[in-house]
Amino acid sequence: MATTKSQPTVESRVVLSCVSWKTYEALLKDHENSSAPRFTYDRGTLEIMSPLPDHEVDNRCLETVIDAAAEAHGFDLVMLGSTTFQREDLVRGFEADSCYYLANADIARGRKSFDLRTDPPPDLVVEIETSRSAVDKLVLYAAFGVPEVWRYDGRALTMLVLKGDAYGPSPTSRAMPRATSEAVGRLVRVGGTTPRRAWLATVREWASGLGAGEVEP
Amino acid sequence: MTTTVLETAMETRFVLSNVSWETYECLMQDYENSSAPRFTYDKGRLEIMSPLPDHERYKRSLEAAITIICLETGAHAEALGSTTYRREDLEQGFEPDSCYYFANENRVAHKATLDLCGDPPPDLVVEVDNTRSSIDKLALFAAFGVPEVWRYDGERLEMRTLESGRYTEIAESRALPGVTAEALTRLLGERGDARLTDWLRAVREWALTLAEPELEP
Repeated sequence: MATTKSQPTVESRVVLSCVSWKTYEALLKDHENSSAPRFTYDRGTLEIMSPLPDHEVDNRCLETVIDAAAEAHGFDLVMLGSTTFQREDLVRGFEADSCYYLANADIARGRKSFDLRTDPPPDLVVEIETSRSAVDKLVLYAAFGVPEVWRYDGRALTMLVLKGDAYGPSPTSRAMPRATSEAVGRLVRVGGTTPRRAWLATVREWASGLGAGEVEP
Repeated sequence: MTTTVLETAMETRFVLSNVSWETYECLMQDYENSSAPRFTYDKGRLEIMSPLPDHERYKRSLEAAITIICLETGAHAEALGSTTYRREDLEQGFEPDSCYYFANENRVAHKATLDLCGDPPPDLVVEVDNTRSSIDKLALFAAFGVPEVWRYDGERLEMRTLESGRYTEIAESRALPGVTAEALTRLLGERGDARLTDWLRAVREWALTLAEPELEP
């Protein structure tokens, strides 16, 4: 909480605590063609979040870095942005800032809809958060079996990997083993203030270094 | 958490666009037994307002003052608090901070549900807020035909009366004759430093002068 004062908040959110699945579905239907605001639903608790510009800048920067890293690793990548994932059997649903299929890219490519009771969840979910959420997103992502979550708080990136039913921090990505949280965090941090072309050159240079690294595990 | 914003604002607001009437109805069903947050709906826009302590402090104080006025002047009143008023034909709905029936008291007394096609709107709506709503509440109250609105912003109480579809400011209430905006502003200004019981005694003393105007110099 001490950080909320020194740090500007880059999103605006509200939490409603007794929302039925029926209302959640009705709200999603009203907003099915819009990416903002974003809804997170967890067994009766609905969080509605409106991203502000800074939030989107960080989100786009991360998307570029992830795209470059996937290419360096020789992985295909399916970017599904803030696609809604919901499971009535879990009474939960989420729209991440961004989500990606890497290992399961073949399954996700070209798909119009997902049924997460049978389809795999995204391999990587990205959360840009500078204000604390009332919904415990990690418990929610763990319930869906999302193997990896990256969190960026406006200054640093944390990579979290699913071990059993909880996430633990990891200095390197599981989905893209040569990408470190330190390097990705640094690239995103300068991304918002560096001229675009110069920044892209930095990202490419970093990505080519990844390709020259040790053989994939 | 108690930043300067929270110290001065009496409530927090969040507005969601593109909300259908059906979704609004689902949400009202979820919240039918709850008084907070309060929802206002205006043709697709949903405002979610969460009151902070000052909001409730002044709202309760104003309600107590109105009760005392009724007791001392013998005015008949029905208090319906934050009852939800909604009209699908207008695509509008609101939950006032507080609302009262005076002239129409006998038409709504003992009613468990209201049907605004036949039942009258409240004779008086009381709003306590000091943050700007993105929904034009006065236009909304006018659409429902609410004859009188009081608004207290923490400094000043304003009284407005509906005249040919628009509200104009008045110095003295029509719903409760003799009660002036100036007197309520003064009394509410004394509320902050006073104990509730001491303040209520002062309100009663003042209200007694309303009951016996002929004794006033």
